[in-house]
Amino acid sequence: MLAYLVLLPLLGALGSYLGERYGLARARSVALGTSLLTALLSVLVLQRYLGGAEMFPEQSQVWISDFGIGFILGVDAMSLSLVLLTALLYVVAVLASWNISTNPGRYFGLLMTMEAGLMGVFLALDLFLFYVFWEIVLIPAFFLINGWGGERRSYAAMKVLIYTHLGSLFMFIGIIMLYLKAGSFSFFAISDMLSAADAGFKSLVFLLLFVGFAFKIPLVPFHTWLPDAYTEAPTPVTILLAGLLSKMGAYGLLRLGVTLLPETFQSYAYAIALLALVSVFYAAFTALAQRDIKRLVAFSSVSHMGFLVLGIASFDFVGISGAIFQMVSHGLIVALLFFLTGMLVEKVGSREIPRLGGLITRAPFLGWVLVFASLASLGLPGLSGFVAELSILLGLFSTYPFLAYLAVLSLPLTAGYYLWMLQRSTFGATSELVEGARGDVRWHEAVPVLLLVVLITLLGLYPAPLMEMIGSTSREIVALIGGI
Amino acid sequence: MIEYAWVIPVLPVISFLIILLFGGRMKEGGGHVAVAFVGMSMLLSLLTIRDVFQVGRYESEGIAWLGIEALRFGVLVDPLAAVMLFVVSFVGFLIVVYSLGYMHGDPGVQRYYAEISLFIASMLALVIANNLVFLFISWELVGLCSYLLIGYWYRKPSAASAAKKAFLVTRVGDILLLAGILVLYANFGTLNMSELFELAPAAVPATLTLASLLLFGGAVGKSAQFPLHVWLPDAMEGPTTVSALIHAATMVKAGVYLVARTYPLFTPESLFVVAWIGGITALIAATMAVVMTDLKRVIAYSTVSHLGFMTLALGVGGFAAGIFHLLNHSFFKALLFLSAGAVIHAVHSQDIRDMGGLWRRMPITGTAFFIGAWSLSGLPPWSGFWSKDEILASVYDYSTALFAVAALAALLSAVYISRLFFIVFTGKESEAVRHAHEAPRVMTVPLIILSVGALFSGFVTFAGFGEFVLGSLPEEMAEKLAHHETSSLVVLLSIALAVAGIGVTALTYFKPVISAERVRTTLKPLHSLLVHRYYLDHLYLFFATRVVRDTSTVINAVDAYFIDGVVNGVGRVTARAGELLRRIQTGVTQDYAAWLLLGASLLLILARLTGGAA
Repeated sequence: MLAYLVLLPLLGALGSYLGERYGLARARSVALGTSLLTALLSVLVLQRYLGGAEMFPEQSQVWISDFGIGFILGVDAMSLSLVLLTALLYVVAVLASWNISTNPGRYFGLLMTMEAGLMGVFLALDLFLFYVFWEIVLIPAFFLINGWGGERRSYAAMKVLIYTHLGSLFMFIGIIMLYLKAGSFSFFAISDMLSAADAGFKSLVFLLLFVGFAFKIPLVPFHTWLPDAYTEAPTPVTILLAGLLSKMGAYGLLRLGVTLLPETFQSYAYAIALLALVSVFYAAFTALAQRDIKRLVAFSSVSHMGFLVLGIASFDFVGISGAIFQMVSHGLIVALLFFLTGMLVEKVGSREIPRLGGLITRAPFLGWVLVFASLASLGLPGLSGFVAELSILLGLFSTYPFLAYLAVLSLPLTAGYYLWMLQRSTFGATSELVEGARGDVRWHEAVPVLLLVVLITLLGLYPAPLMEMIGSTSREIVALIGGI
Repeated sequence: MIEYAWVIPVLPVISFLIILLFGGRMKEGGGHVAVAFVGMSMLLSLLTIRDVFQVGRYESEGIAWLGIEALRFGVLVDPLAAVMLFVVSFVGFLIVVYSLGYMHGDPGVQRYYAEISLFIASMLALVIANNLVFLFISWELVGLCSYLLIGYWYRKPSAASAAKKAFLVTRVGDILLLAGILVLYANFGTLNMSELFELAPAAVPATLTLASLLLFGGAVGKSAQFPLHVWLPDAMEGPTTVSALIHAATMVKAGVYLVARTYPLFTPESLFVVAWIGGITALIAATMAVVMTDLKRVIAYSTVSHLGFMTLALGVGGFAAGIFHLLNHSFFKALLFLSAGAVIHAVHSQDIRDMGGLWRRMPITGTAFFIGAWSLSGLPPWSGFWSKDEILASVYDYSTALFAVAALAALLSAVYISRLFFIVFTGKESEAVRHAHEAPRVMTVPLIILSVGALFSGFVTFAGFGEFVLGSLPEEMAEKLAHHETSSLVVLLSIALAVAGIGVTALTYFKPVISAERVRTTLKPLHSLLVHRYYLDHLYLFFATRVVRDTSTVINAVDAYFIDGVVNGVGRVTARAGELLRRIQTGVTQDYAAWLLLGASLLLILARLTGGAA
């Protein structure tokens, strides 16, 4: 069943590529159809998972026997949450692409190929397979930025490509080292092998993997590809980069770094937490200096991913649950924020904070949802971001109280740059540019926006169902080092 | 009915949703829906309070909000919560009714009623929360509503700026509260308040002192205590009804309520800090209230000062006195704000120098203001007198120095409020006043009801209010804090202070024997210090721009030129190296095929050598 989650988007990619000759409408409806079907399928997977079916792994076949490569797919609560998030954000991204008119077939083809890759990354339990999917995600991302991006698109695309490949290289060396020692790429075989491996080897492998993931998340100082990429990419691609591709790094860190090498991770946990904390503050301060809303959100996203890593580093049940919850919550919130910046360009013609002002009077829907999304991102209780932050802080405080105090200090800073942005762009006197803004809202804008708003609110008001599901994974992770 | 207490905050939530979705198509933007639901919520609150008199205390099982036991959210109703429920639902209801008149014709009323409903819902939830995180969530939501309502007239840059300031300054307090919650969780493993109180006596005092001081940090932000009081006077940019409801009667009480709610966690050391912060706040806010010329700002500083009195009372062990003052203050301060609102509505100005002689034009409003002022000034027999008296008595037993501070603040209370009354309602009619006329009935009726409250709420002290409220505390603690005899010296002094204050003011503004102008010039440095609010706002602005903003500019520059510069530099070096490697890229297909073959063979050989078992 899981294999179809990869196959379906691939078929969609082919379909929309071929559909181009029948025009934009055909290409995008194929993409929308497959993304909806994929979403439906992932809900069915959820239903089976909740029904108690054995899904870790669900399917295990030999793929290339000479190299010990298997086609092993499986889900636990963590990967399932990300599969659901991927399926959802793809519906949003396809709707955000509604008016892409240049080469729509190629565009949607690349977009859907990337979904196949993302699904694969979150499902693969064979490290070679994992790596292959990892690379499958990168290539379309490059072409999408390069082909449909903003003014400096080729610079940004090149930077992403080189940067993340550099990261992948570290990760790949780490994976190969694991393979050479275990004789297999299977997650389970490697896990068995590692229980008897010596600490020096494990340390080396861990550091290689960690650098790979740190590029992707990204943590400061591995982040400089991000602001350019996020800003130059077309809106739907930015949504996917920030909402999903950054989660690949965090997922990899948990799946490989933490679950395979728990003791090694633990010995580096304090250092990682420190690095994450630097990320949180560094990115928050940088966000405060931005004039372009999209760049502001980009840096804010780096800051929030730092928070997520803090949760992982806490190695506490509540903290890790919070980190996984943050993957979902941050995915939803950042998708909404970037969706809105896209609308801003379309309706007002600028993302420059000083040129906006009084947006809410001319485009009330856009303005109010921007207020909502900013509040969600700054961690307003009652919305999902707060739940994640609170759990991460509770976990971190149990492990490293001092770091938790410091992390708390970042919260007013986050509130600061969002409120300052709102005060100048959304409220206040109406600027000349905003006077000419279009206040209309089309269905393909309203539907994804409202969907995200509702989900962010529901997860914030009553997080228990998702938290309890996630809890099964984080309980296993913590058990690795003898917690609860 | 007490087991249905959870419905109390749900009713205004329903009103919020109805108005949000359909308010645009309704008369008055759905104001009548708000009145109906808030009214129902008030009735249910009253029924719940009646039950509290019988059963004393009720706590529900709750739901595991985050899937863990430490965060089980339920409802806790006890005498303390009952007092607060009464204040929030009753004053809230009156103010929503008053709004029908005050906000009539404003183009954004739908938003106003939606936000007011959400505010009342969150405030009621805050009052009956039994878990600190539940309380914190409601705490932040009332902060959100306050932000939105201060910035209600968002086209005014000053309103947008004041809203942001209020949110950020209280946020500083909020993170302290959050840190306190983290400390409690790490040490006790639960955040349910009843469980915490049971565990507290056995805990390390230093931990409790730390945790309680951090919680108090939250109260300092929300209840506008020194040094975080700076946001409240600016918050007057919102509609006057909002000032009355949120920034006088309810939300700003949340900090005081939090201290009272978590009172068993406070140690003598932390209470010492609480007492002094309260005392300092009461005094410095009163001094600023004396020199302000904006009608609403004078009342705002007065609110800060009286919140200081409540905090002071809690700090010195006058638990019942503090809550008693909270109750009385809600009536007379809401009354003062609403009558000030009626004045502003009629005169179209907030500057008291534009006013004068309004008494004849607006007799009902004038009387209402007079009652509120009398009560606040602390002259017998109305409500403010009784609670102020109890507070002073508690302080007297605690510390002489603090008593002097509190007495001076009490004297100044009488001065600023009578100054306001004399300037606005007596004397010569000014130009702006000539066209003023009395407010409509929908506004005056709430004024009359609040007047009755401001006059008589003080008498509950004779009906055993003190013992009732102390019922919320653990028994031992309640016995220790039980009411003791008030010395007649304190009573006499308290009356003398009020009389002296009013007397001096009357001689300045009513029968001008003393020239205000002369006083101002003689005390020039002091006057300028007060008008500039002790330069605290300047200090914060300096911190926000010079420290935070400049740090961000520097880090941004480092990011753009140094870190990214290094990256691009490495990129250029790599590109040059690539030039060399380009020689391999011959563009001849056969060459590539050869490389491919070579690579594949190497891989296969490698596989055979290592065994490559699957």
